[in-house]
Amino acid sequence: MRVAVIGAGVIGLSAAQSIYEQFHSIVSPLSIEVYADCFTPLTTSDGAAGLWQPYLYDKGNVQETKWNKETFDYLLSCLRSPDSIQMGVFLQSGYNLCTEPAPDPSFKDIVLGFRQLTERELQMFPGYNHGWFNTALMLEGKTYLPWLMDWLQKRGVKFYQRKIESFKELAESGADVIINCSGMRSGDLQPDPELKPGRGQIVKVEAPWLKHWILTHNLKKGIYNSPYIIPGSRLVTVGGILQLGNWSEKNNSTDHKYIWESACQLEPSLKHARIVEDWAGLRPVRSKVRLERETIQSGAAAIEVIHNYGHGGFGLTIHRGCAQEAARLFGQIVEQKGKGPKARL
Amino acid sequence: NLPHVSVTLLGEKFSPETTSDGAAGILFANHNPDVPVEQQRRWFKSSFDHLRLIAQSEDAPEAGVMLSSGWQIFRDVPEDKTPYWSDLVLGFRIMTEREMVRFPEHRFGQAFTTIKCECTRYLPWLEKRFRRAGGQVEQRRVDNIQDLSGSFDVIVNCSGLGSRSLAADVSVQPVRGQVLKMEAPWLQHFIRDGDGLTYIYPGIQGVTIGGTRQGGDWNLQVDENDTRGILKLCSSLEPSLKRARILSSWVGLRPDRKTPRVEVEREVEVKKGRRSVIVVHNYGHGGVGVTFAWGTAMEALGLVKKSLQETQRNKAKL
Repeated sequence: MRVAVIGAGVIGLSAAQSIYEQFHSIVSPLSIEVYADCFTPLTTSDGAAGLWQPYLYDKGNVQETKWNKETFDYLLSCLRSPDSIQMGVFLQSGYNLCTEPAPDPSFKDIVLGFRQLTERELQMFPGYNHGWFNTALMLEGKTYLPWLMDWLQKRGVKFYQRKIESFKELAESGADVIINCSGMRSGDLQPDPELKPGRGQIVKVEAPWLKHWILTHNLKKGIYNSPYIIPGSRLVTVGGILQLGNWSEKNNSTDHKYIWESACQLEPSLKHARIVEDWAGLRPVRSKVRLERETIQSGAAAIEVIHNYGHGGFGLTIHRGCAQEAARLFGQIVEQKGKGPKARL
Repeated sequence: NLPHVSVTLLGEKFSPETTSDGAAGILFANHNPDVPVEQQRRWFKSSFDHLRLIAQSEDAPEAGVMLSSGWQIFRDVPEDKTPYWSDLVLGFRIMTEREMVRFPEHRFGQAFTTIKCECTRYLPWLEKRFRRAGGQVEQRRVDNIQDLSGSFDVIVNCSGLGSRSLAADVSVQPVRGQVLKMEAPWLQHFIRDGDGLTYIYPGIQGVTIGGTRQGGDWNLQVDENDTRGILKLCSSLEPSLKRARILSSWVGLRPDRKTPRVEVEREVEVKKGRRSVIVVHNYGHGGVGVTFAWGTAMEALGLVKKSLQETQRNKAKL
C-alpha cells in the first residue's frame, strides 16, 4: 500500500510514525511518503514553546482529553529511553495563574503532582489570586521534528518538498490512502469554515535562571491572550497573543511591546534578559480537532483520506494520541481493502 | 544598619576562589540536633526570605539567585517526614506514587520549591553593593586577630576553616566535597537523595552534581574515583546524565563544626590605656553556608550592635 502524508509538522510526522509502527509488518509492501511545503525548522510546530498543556477545560470533549493523556503518558515513558535528549523531551514544572478563582483544569489528573498554589506562592504574582502548580513535560519541536524525520528516514519513509494542490493529485499518482495533516492550510485542499488562524507571536530570550513556566489565564480574554513565560532547554519563550482570523506571519512591533511589557511585569528578572528573536505563527484553530475518515469520490475512483488537522495551540500536546487514532482509522481501511493479514490465504 | 560605622572587608581570597563559589548554593538544611530548632528556623527563614525577594527582582540574574523546584527522595521512609523548614520553603508536599515511579529504588519523597544562590554571581554582586554603600575592601591575609586590634573596634570573623588558627578552634574540620558541573540544559529540577551524598542541582549555566563527604580530608585535588562514583550515583537517579558532557570539576572543603559559631568574644587589650576590641565570630557553617549566610549575618549584626551599645554605655560611665 502507498500512504501519502500531507504535512511535516508534528502531526504529519507522528501520524507517519504510528502507521509505520503498527502496520509495517502487517502490510507488505508499505510505502509511506511525506509531502510538505515546509519542513523543520520552518513549521508551526518548530515555533511553539513546546509545553505539554491542553486548554484549561475540555468542555466535554473527552476524546481530546484522552488523546492528550495518551500523549503525556507516551512522552513520560520516553523520558527513560536513551533517546530522550534527541527527542527533546524533558520534565518541567510551573505555575498556572488566574485572576479569579476557577475550577480545576481537565488535565489535573494527567500531569504530575498537581496542587493548588499556596498563599505565599500567589504573593509572588500580584494581580493573580488563584492558581495551580504541577509538573508536566516539554517537547521542543526544533529537536523532536528532526528526531522524527530521522526515525522515519531510517525506516524508508520518503520526503518531498512540494505543496500539494489537491487530494486528487496524490490519488492519481498512486497513493492508496492520504493522511491530511496540513494544519493551517487544510482549507486550500478542502474548504473548512471552522478552521481559522489563531495568530500568535512570541519573543525568544536568554534567561537561563528561569526554570519554571508561568502561564496566566484571563478567562475573559480567552486562551493564550494573557502573558506566558515558558523556559526551554536553551531559550525562554515569552508570549501571550492569540488573534483569531489574523493570517499575518510577520512580527508586529505593537504585539512585541505588549508581550514584553506584560511578561516583565509578571517576571521582573526578565528586564535584563537578552532578546534573541521574535516569531509569529498561525495556530490552526478549530472548534474541535478534525480526526476522521473521508472517502472522496473522484470520478469512478474513491480516494481514502484521513483528516488529522485543527489542533490549535495544542498540537504537540495531543499529537501522539491523534497519531495512534489515525493509525487505527488506517487499520479500518486496510481491513476494507483486504490488505490485512487475513487476506493472505 | 549602622550609619556611623565604617566597614572594611578583608579577605585573602575573593570570588571566584572561595569555597562558596564552588557550592551549588541550594537553600537546604539537614536538621542539626545541636542547634535549637527555633534558631535554625530563624536562620533559614531570614536567608530564604531575603533571597526570594532578590529572585523575583530585576537583580536576579546579576545576583545569581533563582527559584528551584525539585525532589528529595529517600530509600527508606524517614522518621521525620516534614523537616523544620518545610513551611519555610514554597509548596512543600509529599511526592505522589506516580512521581515515585521514576525512582524505583526509593520509597518516599518530598517535593518543594527552594532558592538557588550562585555565589560566583552573588558574591561580586554583594561586593558591588558593599562598595557602593561606602565599604572598603582589602585583599589581605590575616594571620592573627591581634594584628587588627590596633585599627578596628569590631572584628567579625568569617574565616571558615581559617578559624582553626584565627580563633584557635580546632573543632572546625574540613569535610571534603567534590562536584562536577554538567552540560544538561534539559534538566529543570533538583534531585537530592535524602542521604545527602547524591544530588543534582541545575543552575544558570550548568548542572552541579555531587558529591562526597570526606571528613578530615584536606585534599583539594579532583579525585577520579570520586568523579566516577558521582557520575554513577547521579546517573542512576537521572539516566540522561549519562549522555551529558562534563564542563568542569571542583573540590571544596566545608568548614564543618558541631554548630555554626555565632557569638561575641570580647578582647581587652591592655596597652596604652584600656582598649576593648569586640570580636564577633561567624564561622563553622559546614555545608549550609549559603543556606544560613544571611540568617547568621543578621544574628552577627545583632551581636555587633549590642556590643557597640555596651561599649558606649561603658564609656559613658567613665
